Amino acid sequence: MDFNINRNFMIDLKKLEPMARGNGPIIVVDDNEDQLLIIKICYSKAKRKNQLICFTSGDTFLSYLTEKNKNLSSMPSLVLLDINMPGKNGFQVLEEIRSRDEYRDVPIIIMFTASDSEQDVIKAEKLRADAFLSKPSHIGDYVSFFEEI
Amino acid sequence: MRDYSVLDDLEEGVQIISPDLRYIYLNKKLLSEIQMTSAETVGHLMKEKFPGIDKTQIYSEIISCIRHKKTKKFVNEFKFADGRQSFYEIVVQAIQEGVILFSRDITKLKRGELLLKETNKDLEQFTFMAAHTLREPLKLIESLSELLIIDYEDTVPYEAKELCRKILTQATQGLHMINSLREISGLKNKDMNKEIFSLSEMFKENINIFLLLNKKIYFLEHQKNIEIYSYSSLVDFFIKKVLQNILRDGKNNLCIKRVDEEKQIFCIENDTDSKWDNMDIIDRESMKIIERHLGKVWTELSEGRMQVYFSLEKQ
Repeated sequence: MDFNINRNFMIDLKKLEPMARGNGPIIVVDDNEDQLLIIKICYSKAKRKNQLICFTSGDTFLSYLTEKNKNLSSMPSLVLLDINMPGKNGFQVLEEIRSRDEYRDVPIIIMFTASDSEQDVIKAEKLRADAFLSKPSHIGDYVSFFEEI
Repeated sequence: MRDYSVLDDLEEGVQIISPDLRYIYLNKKLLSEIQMTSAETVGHLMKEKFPGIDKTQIYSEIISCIRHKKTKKFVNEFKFADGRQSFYEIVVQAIQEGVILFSRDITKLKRGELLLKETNKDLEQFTFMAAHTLREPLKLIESLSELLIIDYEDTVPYEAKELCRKILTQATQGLHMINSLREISGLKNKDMNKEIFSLSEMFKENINIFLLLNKKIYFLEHQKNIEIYSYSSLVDFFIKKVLQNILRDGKNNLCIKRVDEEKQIFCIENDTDSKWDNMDIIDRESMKIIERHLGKVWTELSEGRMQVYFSLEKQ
């Protein structure tokens, strides 16, 4: 197995660059509701104009994409995907999104809490995620992440 | 022909091979292992009796010993025609007739080693997974208590905020420990690189964590910045563990010193007004870290002054 990680693929919270595209919603998919609560509070502190939409499973997010998001105006400007989820995990969701032509260019960030193993990082890049983020634990970092991204 | 009967009943397998690689003698032990008789083997070429043996390590070691007359000890894996597989510790030595080989069956030992390796791997995997699983709730505790402190600063009573700070500090410490444990477990070795960092700064940062817990600690600036080249996360973990063990109630005056530049010896010193009990300053994890650096760790205690010495491998 190739263990060479592309360090540029990993988000450095000290050197954040804008990644979100357009005015569409920012989407977060994470099965942990406490994590989502923290994200929602930090997002509101960041005072961003984009709407924030949260999903607790990959399946509900994929259904949302299929049913409600057929026009370009509501195309997500950014997707934050957790990896360890019951049902479809983040990698499977990522693979499915990238297989759909209309979502080929949506920026997707893979988020990890419990895992940042080299294999996972490599896999995320191989499946054409745009970046990899180790979830911040400090509120200030979270807020500036949402402000800058 | 020389009489080799003295070798017949030895516990080890013995064989004598001529310079043209024919069997001259095989003792009872070896014959029973290869399930052949003396008449079937003596006088025959090795590769004639064991086709393919000329491609094995044992064969090339025999040839090398015949040529260079040098004794050699090695472990050889042997596959029998019936599918059995055994490991032998072999000593090959040059003698007048050619070479003599002593072989000891270490199959049980080898299997034990393999089992131990597998068990260790399982344990490492378990440590890694346990650390993985624990990180998520700890990160959440850290974030939630921080939110409580920030968002309810004006409404929460001072004592409650202090309690939140303690929760936050403990969660942060727990996360540091878990990250280091993952590295120590061996599975993250590929991630670990040596780097240059400031040991004195790292020490000060760790003291700051304990200060949040209302410890009376004073950092004594004895020396200039101490820069070292090492595994920073492991050294950080070591410092945390040591501080946890040496900080007791009362006033603590701490400092870190480089005792010997050449031998990379450092000392964490604590002048304290509290009494020292018999306690383990250096626990197993701390010891393992230092061993990983091929170093040593020891303590000295005199008149209320605790000194923890440790050495890291030379640059």
